[in-house]
Amino acid sequence: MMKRAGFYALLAVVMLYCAGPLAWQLITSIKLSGEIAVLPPLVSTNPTAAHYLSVFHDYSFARYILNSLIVAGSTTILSLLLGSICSFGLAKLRVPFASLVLAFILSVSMFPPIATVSPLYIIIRTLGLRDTLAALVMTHTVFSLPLTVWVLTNFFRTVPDDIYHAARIDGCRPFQVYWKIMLPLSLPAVFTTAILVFIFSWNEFLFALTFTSASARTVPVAIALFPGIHEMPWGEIAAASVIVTLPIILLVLLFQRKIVEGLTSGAVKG
Amino acid sequence: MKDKERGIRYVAPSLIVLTLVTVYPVLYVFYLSLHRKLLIFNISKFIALDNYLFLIRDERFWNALRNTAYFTGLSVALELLLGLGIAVLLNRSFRLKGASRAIVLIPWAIPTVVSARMWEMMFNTDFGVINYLLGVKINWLGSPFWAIHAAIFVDVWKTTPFVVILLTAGLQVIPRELYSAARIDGAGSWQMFRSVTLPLLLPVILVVLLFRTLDAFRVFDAVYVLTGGGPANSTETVSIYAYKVLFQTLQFGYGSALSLVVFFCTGSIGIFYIRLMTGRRT
Amino acid sequence: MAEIRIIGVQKKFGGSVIIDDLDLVIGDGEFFTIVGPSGCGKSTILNMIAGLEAATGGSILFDGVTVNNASPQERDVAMVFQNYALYPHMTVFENIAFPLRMKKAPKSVIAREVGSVAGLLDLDGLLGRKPRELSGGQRQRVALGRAIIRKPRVFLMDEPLSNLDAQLRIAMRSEIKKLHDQLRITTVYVTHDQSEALAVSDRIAVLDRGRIQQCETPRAVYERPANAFVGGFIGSPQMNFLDGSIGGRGGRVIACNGMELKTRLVTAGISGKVTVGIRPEDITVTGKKREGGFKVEAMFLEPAGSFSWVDFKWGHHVMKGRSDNDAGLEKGGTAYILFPVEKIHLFDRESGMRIG
Repeated sequence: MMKRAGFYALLAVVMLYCAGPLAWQLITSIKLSGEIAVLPPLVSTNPTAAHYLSVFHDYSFARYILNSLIVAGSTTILSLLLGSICSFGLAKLRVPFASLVLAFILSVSMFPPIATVSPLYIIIRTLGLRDTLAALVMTHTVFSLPLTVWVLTNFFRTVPDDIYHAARIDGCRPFQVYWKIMLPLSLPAVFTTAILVFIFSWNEFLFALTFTSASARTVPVAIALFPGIHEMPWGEIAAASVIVTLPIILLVLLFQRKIVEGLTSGAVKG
Repeated sequence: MKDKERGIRYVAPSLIVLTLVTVYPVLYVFYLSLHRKLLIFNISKFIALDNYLFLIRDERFWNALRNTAYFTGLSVALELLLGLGIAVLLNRSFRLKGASRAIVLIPWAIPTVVSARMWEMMFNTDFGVINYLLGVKINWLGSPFWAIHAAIFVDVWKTTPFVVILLTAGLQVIPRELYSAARIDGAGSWQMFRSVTLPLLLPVILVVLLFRTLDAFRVFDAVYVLTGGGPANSTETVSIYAYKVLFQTLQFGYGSALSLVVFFCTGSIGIFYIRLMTGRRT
Repeated sequence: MAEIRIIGVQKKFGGSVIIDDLDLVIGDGEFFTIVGPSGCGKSTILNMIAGLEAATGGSILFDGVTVNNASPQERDVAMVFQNYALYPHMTVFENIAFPLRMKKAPKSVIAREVGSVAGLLDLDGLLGRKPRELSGGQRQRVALGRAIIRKPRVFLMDEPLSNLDAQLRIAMRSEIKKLHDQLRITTVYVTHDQSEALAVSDRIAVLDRGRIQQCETPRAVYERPANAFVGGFIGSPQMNFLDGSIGGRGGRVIACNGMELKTRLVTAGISGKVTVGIRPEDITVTGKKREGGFKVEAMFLEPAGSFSWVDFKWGHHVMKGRSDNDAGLEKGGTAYILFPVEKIHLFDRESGMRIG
């Protein structure tokens, strides 16, 4: 009995450790500015939505959110399209040095972004793509490709080769097997990958910081560079944080199982 | 048995964009690092290895490398220990297990920038909730000693869920019978952990170490947003230093040399772990 | 419908030769079975006929036209796989309709054809289900339906029954046979189960290590095995083998196990070491002494219903024979065996080839 109580106490500490900071952010975001700068009281006596309104009125956050949505959405679609075609080739067709190709693609995920950011900046400037969403979509797509290819290749390999053969016999060209059989068949894995890629792109900072200045700014950059005239607008920062985090948290809580599947794909041999 | 259709056509598009956007830039970085390139003045001059010779004598670079190594070592070790503890805790059966697992994922899902901002506020000397709860008045982000540890703490908080996820998956594939057998053989819980759990978990632990060490070594956003590298460069990592040289002083030549150091360090770390893993398998 | 002609076909994989110089003619409308132990290359042959694998040498002709470079859809073949390979995300209807959809058949035609195939295979009530909601036998019938719907020129089956339980396997076997009788489509059937091969085929090719050992009707393969491998592989329980030698007066006597058997099977002039094969079902074991019978020791009885299989020891050989249930045999007791001399198979001991 004591042991059980100890276990639940420990569990409670872990849960508080994981969720506490976000909860605190939520509490802060509905405090009046004057209340934020003093403790106690911990919880606001007079909750306000002022910071949330200010984030949209004074800091054009709607624009940043739209930018982030466009970048993350396009990245997800492009990465999955390119990656799933590549994975299909690797898993079901004859590719010379297939394992070497896969190893190369994976090794790209080890490339530190900082080591590519300076030439990419020059290339993007030369192409006239500075401060455009396209520049971000391109880099995010490429840097998410290793993850997409890894998860989908692992999944496609679990589909029996005979399904591929049956489709060929039934009159599909290889690309039709991909489009009409493999992709619909793999929707759960595709969905998992989509969530992971979306979260990656939504959260990405270094490229977004370097390649954009105003019109293509995404939410993480906006939060990092929150302008403060005299002092930090902590209430607004808290509100903005809650706004960009809640959709992601919602995704995580809803699709926890799928996300875990995707993250552990291939890392653990069952 | 594979189709005679050549799969290379399917793989090529991905390979081409990967090469264009990652391999080509790394080669370009090397080229840049052999030049003095000042973007604003349109200066570009071949100076051979001068940037690297400067780098060797650059005390700020060595400081950044020390910071990066310290940050990497301590945060990876803490993440592993904490992650292992939480994974073992969550591997028991109890009510609300699914919900608990989802909650553990929250720090992973929060954008790094947001988490840095969040902790920045909580670490505030005057109104930060941490000082309030501890009943102290420490200037966490203002003192060199505390700042690096605060940065490590934020990184540990943010990335422990990833460790938990992988280790939990590793724990789940350990056959239950092994524990029954160990118990029949008279092993206590610590002995079972030492002689069953840990050895069987080792391959997954290596994977975790690989991912986490690589990520920690190239850390940028968490620390950059939390402290900007300060105070007095006490939290400046090589990535942050490289970024500042590149985009604040716009010295693309020297900045490229610095970023190549990160590239070679992470490359070596990757090769080291992969050797370790393949060595174990054979 | 088509006649399939395989000429000098070879398949190498890496350094090893899987199929070497294969010649085969499968007649129009024939039910042709390739049988052999696992790893003998039979599925490779099927895949080469299907166009899923390319031959590294030789040619494959359908009705006299080379199809080596034709894709599976150009060859117009249909195939049934061991694990059914149904599309898990499609309903039974969609699975069966898929080949017609790929041919861009009009919706009304598809509905009509699927309806008639479903009727033929007794799948009417299951059209809305997904494969995972079906039993093994039902999945097998869906796989058959998907194969027959577009009336292919050639029908290929790769171990289609080996994932079914024993009873269902026998039921499906006669269903496949009936289907073939109705449709008369050239069928190439691959199996490792010799009894299945004997039951369904017009002709059988026995394959071992990439080479055809014998290619004849089931009856010929059973009654006159071309070599010791075929003798041992076809027939159940397995054929008994004894070492013997042909000696003396014109090679008419086989010394075997210390006994001399007079036979007229051997052509004059041959002498030397041979392997003697006798099928268990050709050996009668009794408890009473019979004229011309050899004395053996009964070791083990395995009742098979209307009769029993008997393991017995003859000299130092352990062999199998059959006995009537009232033969009065006892475990460990003395028994006598009888077999007609003309049922003996003789193989050259060196080459394994049939003699006589």
